[in-house]
Amino acid sequence: MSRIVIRGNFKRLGVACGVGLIIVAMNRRRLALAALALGLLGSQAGHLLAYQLRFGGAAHQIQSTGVHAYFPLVAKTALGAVAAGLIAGLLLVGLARLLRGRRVRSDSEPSFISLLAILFSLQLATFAAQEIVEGLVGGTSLMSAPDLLLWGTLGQLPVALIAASALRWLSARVESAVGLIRDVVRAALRKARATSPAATPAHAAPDLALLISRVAGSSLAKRGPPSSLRISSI
Amino acid sequence: MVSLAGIFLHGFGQRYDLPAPLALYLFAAGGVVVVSFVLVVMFAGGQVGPKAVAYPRRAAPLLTRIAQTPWPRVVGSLIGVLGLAAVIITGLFGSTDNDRNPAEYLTWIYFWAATVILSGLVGNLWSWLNPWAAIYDAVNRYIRISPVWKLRNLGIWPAVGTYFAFACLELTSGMANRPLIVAIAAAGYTIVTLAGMALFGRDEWLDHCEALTVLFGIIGKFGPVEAERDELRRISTVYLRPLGVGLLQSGAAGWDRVVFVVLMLSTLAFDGIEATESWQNFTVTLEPLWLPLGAWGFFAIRTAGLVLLTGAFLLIFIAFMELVLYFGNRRADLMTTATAFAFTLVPIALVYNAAHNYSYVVVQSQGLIPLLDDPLGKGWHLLPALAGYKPSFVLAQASTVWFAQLVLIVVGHVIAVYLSHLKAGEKFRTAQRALLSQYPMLLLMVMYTMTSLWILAQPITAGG
Repeated sequence: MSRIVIRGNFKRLGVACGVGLIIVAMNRRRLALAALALGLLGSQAGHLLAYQLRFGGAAHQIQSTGVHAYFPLVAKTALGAVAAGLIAGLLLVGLARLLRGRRVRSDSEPSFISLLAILFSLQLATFAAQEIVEGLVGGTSLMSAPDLLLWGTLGQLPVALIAASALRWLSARVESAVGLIRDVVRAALRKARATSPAATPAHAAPDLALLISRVAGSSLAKRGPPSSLRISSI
Repeated sequence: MVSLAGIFLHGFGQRYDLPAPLALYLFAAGGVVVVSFVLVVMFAGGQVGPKAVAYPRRAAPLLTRIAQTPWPRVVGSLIGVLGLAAVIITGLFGSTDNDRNPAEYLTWIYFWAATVILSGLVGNLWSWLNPWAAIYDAVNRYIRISPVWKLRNLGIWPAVGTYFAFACLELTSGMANRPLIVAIAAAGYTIVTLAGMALFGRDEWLDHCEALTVLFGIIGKFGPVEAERDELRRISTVYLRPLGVGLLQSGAAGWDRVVFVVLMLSTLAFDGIEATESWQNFTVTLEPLWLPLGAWGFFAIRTAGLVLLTGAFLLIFIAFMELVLYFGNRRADLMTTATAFAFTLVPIALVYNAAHNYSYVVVQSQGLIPLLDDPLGKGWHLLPALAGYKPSFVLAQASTVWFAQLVLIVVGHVIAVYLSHLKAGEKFRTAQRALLSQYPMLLLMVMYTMTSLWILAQPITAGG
């Protein structure tokens, strides 16, 4: 019941403030930054996959000793950061959906193939750089170009596919969600500011008037002792 | 061709000790590409718009007259049809030993390696050699063939599929060295192509579904001969132009064309990678995945490798195109931009093809000569004077091969840098933006120069 009340109120608030249907494409620069971050972080998942395929059961041992000693911490941090970002994005989309009462959409999603290409290339470059630096620091033989290309692609491509799908989905919605939440909050603040200087009684504020809509009103009327026990009813 | 390759191409008996470390060669080659970029910017960097891609061409009246006679087509058709017939007959009825069967030499060396290189140097030879078009035209002269169906607008995707299938036969099936399989594939492709032309129309089929016509059409743009055709597709004028500039011509844009060009590069690169230790280790490591597939396992892992490499090449290319657009500061369509710049990669594919197949063309091609005495391996002596011919290795010393490959690869990349810069001039509004947009392309070219040289060096040199 309370969900309906909230939805109804904010919808009306939105209409009152001229927000309308918010469809915003994600800012190009922000998308590039998100892709860069996801590419760098996702490459660690690709690294894990490549090593798992290459070394099987010994992969964990190899990736946590010698020049790879740093890797478990980096991988965990990277995966944790990606997971946190994903959850935050989902929360925003979920909250916006709750406020709007319908799906948060964007009419312009970024090109999947572009995102995939950028993420994959970034991940592959990071993987190659990581392997070369590890080889130089550890004084071991460097992976050859075909090795980097074959194992890098095998490990990074599946991760890039998932990352591109997720980023495309989220980028199309998070921006809209953020826009929607921001507008609703602004509208609420504006209303509050507009009403506070006149020291209008709280019950007379427009927000309250909205709250006491048909559903909310009936909801409030039901609270308290049974009407038969009220003094006014005697 | 596996055994042939084992004998000559990927193992020269002795490996060549480079006089300097391989890395030095790689960096020097990359450096040459960078210097060429600077020179291009200094001497050819000012033009923008359509002027940037305008190139000089000169009408060649003598060539026009020759091209307008029926003779080039007649001679070309005769060579094409006889070649196709020879592949099918010798493949079906000749020796099962690939070294002793002309079908192998005709298909993989004379057609696949030499004709591609020649078409790059001269122009689209396939338009005259195409045996299927010749057969169709000959039949059509007596029995009028009208198309039954209209081909759906699929671009050149069918040709992409056919080209990939051809690459699989050559590189991943492990059957390219079986003359019988080569003959069956040639016969099957002949039937499909003739049926396709009859059902959908000659030019419709050839332009969209026949991979070799599409391939040679692209390669022919590199050549110095340009033929202008009238509405009936007859040659009206023949021009001479600088090498490579034909690739600047704007054609239809589409991902199908981009994928086709990328396949041209990736199949060649895969052919090189297959000969490296890295690939051997890769397949051995992944044995648990493909070994259970039995006889199909090796085919599966190789095809997966080819797909993986093609996917990687395509994605890296697209990422670089995004960078080109970003630095060019233009909200242009990615597909159009990618198509325009994909054609500037064709010189790289051509030189890589020439470099990779160098020893095939100069040494192994000679293996056909003694076989002319007894093409079917039946003990005939048709040309006894040729029976004892021994291939000459004069042009195939490991050092010669290495330096020829080095020069070819660098020259190809320099041409690609030049074409790419001109194309950028056409696409972007100012010379400054065009220049900025080319930094990513330069990086891509330098990386590709060094990687392809490294791959080519593996079977030849011991200097790494």
